[in-house]
Amino acid sequence: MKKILLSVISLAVLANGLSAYTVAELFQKPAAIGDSLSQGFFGVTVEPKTQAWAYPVLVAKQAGSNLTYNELKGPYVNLEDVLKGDCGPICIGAAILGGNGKTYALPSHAGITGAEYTSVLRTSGTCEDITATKWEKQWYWKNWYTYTYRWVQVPDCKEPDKFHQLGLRDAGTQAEIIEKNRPTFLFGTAGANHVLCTALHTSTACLDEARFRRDIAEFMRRAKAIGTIRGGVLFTIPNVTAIAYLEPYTDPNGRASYSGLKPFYRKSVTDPGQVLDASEVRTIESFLAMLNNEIKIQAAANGYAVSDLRVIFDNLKSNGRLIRHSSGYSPGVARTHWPLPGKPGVFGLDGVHPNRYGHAVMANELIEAINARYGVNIAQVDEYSAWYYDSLNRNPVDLKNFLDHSIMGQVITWLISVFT
Amino acid sequence: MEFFQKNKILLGVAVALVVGVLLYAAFSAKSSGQRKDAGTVKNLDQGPAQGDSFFSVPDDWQYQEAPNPDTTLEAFLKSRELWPDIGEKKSSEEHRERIRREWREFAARYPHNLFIPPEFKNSTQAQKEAVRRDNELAADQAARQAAFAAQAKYRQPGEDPKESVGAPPNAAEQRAWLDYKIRETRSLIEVIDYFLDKGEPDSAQKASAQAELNRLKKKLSEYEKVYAEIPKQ
Repeated sequence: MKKILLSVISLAVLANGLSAYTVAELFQKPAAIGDSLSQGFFGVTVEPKTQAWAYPVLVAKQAGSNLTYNELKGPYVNLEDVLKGDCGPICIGAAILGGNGKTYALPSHAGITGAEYTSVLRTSGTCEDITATKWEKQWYWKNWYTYTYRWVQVPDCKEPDKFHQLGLRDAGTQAEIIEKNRPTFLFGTAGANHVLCTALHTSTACLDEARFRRDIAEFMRRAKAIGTIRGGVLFTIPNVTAIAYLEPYTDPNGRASYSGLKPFYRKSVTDPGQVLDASEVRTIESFLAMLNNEIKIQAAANGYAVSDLRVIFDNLKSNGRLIRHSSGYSPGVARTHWPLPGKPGVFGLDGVHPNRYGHAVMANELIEAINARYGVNIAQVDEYSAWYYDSLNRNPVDLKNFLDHSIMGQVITWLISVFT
Repeated sequence: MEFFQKNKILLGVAVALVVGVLLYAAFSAKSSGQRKDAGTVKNLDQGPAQGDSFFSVPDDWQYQEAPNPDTTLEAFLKSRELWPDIGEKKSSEEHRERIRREWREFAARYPHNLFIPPEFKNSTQAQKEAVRRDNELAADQAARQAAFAAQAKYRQPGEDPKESVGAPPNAAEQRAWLDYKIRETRSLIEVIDYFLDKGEPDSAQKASAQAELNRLKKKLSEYEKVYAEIPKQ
């Protein structure tokens, strides 16, 4: 009887993973892959300040550990600084070029702006696609009197974008970096750009279900094969048609294909390509459901925690999130827009990426999922502090007052091109 | 003298060590001085200067009544562990005045540059509306091309491109867009040139600027060539 009871208890512990590891054991060596969310892209640049407030960095620190990453100084520009008059032409010139601050031969945080699971597998800091090849003539001595050639396939290494160049440098692809790190804990989400492209392009042309399914599975297979990972966390992708970048629009002439969701910077819609109509929104929602379902399946298969950010974001959009100091003071409820006077918000000035406060919210949701999954007790980030020190929340910029500035055209076109 | 001859290597190492220690001390002092200069953090060593706050809230921030979450040095340092930038001086009226001077000089040198804020161009309402139309046009075309590029990104060798997304632009639209791209590319070249001239680029930035200028100039000549091919209507 005793034996049976012990076996049942052991099985239950194994199944839940509860208390299998302490926080220190789980986070003995954390590592992260990802995209602009994990790298800390913030309207519209990556710089040390924004990298430090990115969700995996916050969670790792709360768990008493840390992640290392190559510091970036751009590209492109910190729009908040430009619009507030703190960054002029010299600062803009330097920021557009971009560069590195502190660097590591093998960073443990490999998240890169614009990445998705495909580029996690294929793009390094030196090659846009490490699997790409081309045919080349190889000259050789066939025998002592015949100098001839044969066709051989050789790597076709093209320079990657600047975020990959500066973020990964010579360390390999994101997947290779994780393999070299042999981590104990993995932040493994790079799903957003498989679907965010639809919002930025107002088109569903970029959706590719087969590629997403193939590449997330391949990355997870490789991560599992490392053999050192004790735990990890994934999150579902929020509804990209509900972000601040898009806003509802009804065609004054009642044309269905001219109505739906338009980018915030447009006054009106003059072409169906400028709007996501109802049918396109349904296509995106269906793709998103598939994508999030696959993320949950992968998390379950690997024993990872999963945070349902899709549900959390929907709730934030409907009900907001209360910001409150321990004394009871509250500046109000934060919502899913960039901050406006008297209205706290979670987004930065592109309407796509979180600000300092938004990342604290995201980190806390991940911490909650990790605590629940592994039976640990990582402390939450103080969201009031994140809001208190957030310059954009404390001194908001209403982007709509700047739509007649010519820099906005450049910022928006650059943003669209990065998330292709 | 014999002693020096016999212990040449030992003395060399000792001298190198002393020089190293002195240099380290000098650099440490310099960087710690820089940190102190850059911060608006109050008296971290001696405790709070006034009230119980370690952080000066800038005058232009809203919610001045919001209580500081970090009333002890320990709490403040914990916050700085999470967000190392807090307390760094970001702006001052002097800094913003220097930026305004930069813009005035830049606008005089490159009057058509797209980065110049309207207040330094004395833009009329009509000009501002034209800028907004340009911005929308540029974004439309960027979205169209990005959608096409996204489809093309992972095509296998030999796979032909799909048709472009949406209806192709007419000649007037294409002319307006290419005109914008030409102005945008020139603006980028100008702002990088200005940084090289008036900023303090290090060697890595100089090399990166040269590569970027070469790329932009190639792009510019490509746009100008296609622009010239648009049929006159």
